[in-house]
Amino acid sequence: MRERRDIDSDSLPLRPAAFAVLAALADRPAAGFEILERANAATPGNPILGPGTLYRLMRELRQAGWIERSASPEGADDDRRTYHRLTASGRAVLGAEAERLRRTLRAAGLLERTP
Amino acid sequence: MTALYRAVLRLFLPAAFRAEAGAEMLEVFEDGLAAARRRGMLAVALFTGRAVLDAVVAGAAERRSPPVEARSWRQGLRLDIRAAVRDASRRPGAAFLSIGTLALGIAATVLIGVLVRDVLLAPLPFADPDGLVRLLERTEEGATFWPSLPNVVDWREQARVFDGVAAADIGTVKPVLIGNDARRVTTGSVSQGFFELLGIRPVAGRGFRPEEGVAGAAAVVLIGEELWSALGRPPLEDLVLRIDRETAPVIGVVPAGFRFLGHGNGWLQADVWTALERNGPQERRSHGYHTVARLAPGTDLASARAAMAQLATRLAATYGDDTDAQTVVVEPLASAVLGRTRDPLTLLGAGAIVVLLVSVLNLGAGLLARGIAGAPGLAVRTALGARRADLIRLQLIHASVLAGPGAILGGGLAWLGLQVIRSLSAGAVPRLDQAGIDPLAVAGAVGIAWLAALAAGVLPALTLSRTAGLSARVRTRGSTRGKHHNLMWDLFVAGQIALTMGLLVAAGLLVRSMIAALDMDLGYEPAGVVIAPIALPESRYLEPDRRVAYFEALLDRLRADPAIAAAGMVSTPPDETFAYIAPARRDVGEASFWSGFRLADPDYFQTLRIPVETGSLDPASDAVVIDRQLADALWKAESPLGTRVASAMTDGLLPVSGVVGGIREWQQEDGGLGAIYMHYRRRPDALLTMNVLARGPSPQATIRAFRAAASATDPLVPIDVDLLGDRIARSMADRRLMLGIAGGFALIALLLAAAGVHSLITQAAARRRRETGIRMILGESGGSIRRRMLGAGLRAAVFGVSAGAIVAWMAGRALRSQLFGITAGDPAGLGGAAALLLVTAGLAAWLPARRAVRTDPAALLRDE
Repeated sequence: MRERRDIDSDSLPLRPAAFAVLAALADRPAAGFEILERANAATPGNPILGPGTLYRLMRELRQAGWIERSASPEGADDDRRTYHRLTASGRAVLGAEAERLRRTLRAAGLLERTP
Repeated sequence: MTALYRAVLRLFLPAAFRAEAGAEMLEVFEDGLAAARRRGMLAVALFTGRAVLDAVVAGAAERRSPPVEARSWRQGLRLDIRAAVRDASRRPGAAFLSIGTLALGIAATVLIGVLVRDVLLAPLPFADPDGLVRLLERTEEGATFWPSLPNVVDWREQARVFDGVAAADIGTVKPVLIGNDARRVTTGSVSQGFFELLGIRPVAGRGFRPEEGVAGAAAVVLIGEELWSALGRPPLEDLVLRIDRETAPVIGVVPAGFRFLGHGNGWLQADVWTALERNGPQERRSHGYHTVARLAPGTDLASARAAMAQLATRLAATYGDDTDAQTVVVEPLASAVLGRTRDPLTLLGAGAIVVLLVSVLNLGAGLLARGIAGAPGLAVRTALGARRADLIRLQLIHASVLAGPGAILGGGLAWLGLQVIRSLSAGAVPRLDQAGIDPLAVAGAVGIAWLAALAAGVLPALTLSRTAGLSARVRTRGSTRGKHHNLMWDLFVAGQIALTMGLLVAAGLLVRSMIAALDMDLGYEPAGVVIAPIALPESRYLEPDRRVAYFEALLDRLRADPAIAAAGMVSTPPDETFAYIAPARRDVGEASFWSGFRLADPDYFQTLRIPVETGSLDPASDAVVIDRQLADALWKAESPLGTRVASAMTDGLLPVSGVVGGIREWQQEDGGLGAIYMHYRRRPDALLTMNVLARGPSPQATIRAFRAAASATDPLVPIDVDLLGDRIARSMADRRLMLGIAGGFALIALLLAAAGVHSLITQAAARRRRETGIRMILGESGGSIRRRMLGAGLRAAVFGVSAGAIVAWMAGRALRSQLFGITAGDPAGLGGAAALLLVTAGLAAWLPARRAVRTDPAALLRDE
């Protein structure tokens, strides 16, 4: 397994598909098809084509140390599936990219200033 | 449907990818299919179509750019090696330079390694060599001498720390008669138990028995196996020698190749061996025997030294002024045997390591240059997840691609070098014939090459992986290179130049001091002098008067010949050591000076062009002539004329009737011996062997005249005529060998220096091409650009030369004890090396600058 690396400016911006996959895993671990569905729902104009593309993308994210395979979460409907979850650095990258987008929008006046 | 998808995966995905991801993809497909089924047939068809298209696209993408991890270790290695070979062949000049310099470095190191191993560290060819020590006498003044026979006998009988003490005197050439065959042979005289002590067993017959090694015993001899073979290996009972006026049966044969310390610390072989102690008692101050002892079991060097110090004190108390041995030096025989060879070889070993270091730096610089040029590419790799270890691996592969051929070429060069050294040294260096390039040496070459690759490859990789991110950004912003790289590059160039300068100066110092040692003023002129050691057959020249008559007749004939300008004779020629020397004293004072004793005729000095300061040899009186060194040592500013001198060889005080110039004795570099000359007629009984010399304008004519004169005088006296210059050259063979090797190193250093510095600065200049292009577009003149680039190249070179002067100064200090006739801080050498390096650096910076300003600036920019 690849060692975790700190987030540096080289990592950002994320590609939309990578951002979508990370976002799909934000609240809980998920299996392949669920990730595909959630990611495609988040980026309607730029869908991830299918399992092959998804797998290649997830491998890249896993090599970057941002996601990892996980055991089936409690209450999962089928524990034969392979589940994936965010690592701490994956969560940090996701947060950093979200913040970057937020700042871009705010600077463009497209986002309300929130207290 | 699932079966269809599985078939698609098998068809379109690379096997490695399928094995890794196939199961999970199938999982996702099944989940997706189940969801689609709930929405109807169209959804199933759409989903399946998309999934199949996705598999085809993903498979193609995977084939086009497999991730680092997806490749097997072997596939990755193969790809990397192929890339490295491609890279090397794209720049054949740089690759050839790297391989060539590395090969030179490897060749030098392997060659020296083999020499050190086979010549320095190889065990002596004697039984249990570690237990053997050499014994020397040390005087009150601290001078060391080969021991005298009476001391050796006392040590043998009284030293409990030794299992045996034996002495040998090897190297005297004598005439022998074998049947009717007159030969000149090298003889060795050995004390009782000599062969047994060294574990040498005769290959035929037997060794000396104790009763054969006592005064007055009947003469018997052993002969060397080489002589025995030359005689046709006859039965020993049939072999009888006539030697030293005696008939001696041959009792045994010493194995071929057996050698021991002989005259002048040489490593000598003898044809005929006699028993030393048969000749009766000798002077206790008459030195001349190489003495070896075997440590008793359980005795170490320190306790042997302590015991011998006590014994020497006791013997000195007993014999008083009759002995010179105040203490006894006890040293391992192995270190003594190689005494003269060891220091230069150690130095050359250090030189070889520096040569290797410079070649590793050259290789590293080449890789660094390539690495910096390829830094953006490396940055991309880093961004894609390549770790520092991956970059190091990549650099290692690049280095290995160059190091492999370098090792092969280097091994070949080392082999070639050894052949050259062997042919040059011609047996002058002990044990050199046993040195060889064997599998171990080859393994050493490969090991060195790999270590070199490691050293050369890792440094740039470490530096680059740290700065790769920076480079990537630099590139996207379209600026020139970062300052960090330029500084590192300058440091690299400067370091390379500094090291090279140290090497150049040290090699230059060694070569020049060796030349000085070879060229030193001998005090006489061997040019054109022919020498013939003549040994009169005892049987026909029994009466001393007949000997005098023979030599005078021969000299008269020589002097009458128009081809000969001068002729003379002497008992010990100047290029042979005094086997017997003794302290000379004058009539007043206690001071003494070690001097040899020579019988000569008055024309001897003129024949050798030894300056005669005053007086001459007188056949009618016992007066002697002394040399300038003895006169300076004992008389200082006084005139020796009218005073008297004595040594163990003069039988009391003799008047001094003249002074001649001093000469350098055989292989003596400090000229620390004096000489006493006496007219030959005063000792007619000693005239059985003399050296007759003649000088003429043509050596060939002189030799012919010599042969004719000898034949006319007595055709039955065998003579060997030789050129004195040739004899001296032969005795200097091992020095010449060292000179040759040091010269070779200096040449290699020069090549490496020029090549390395040139390549570094050329690359540094090439790296500024883009900058040059921009400057030209902005209107800067060609001259200004040339000056700027020349300045940039020279800045690093000047810095390197300054640091190099310090390195060279330190190297010179380390070499100080090895230098002769030249000082360590020799300004000519330093200045020469500095000038050479600066000129190389200047040329290397100027040529690419000139090329750049002649090129279209747009092309320079496109280059990036």
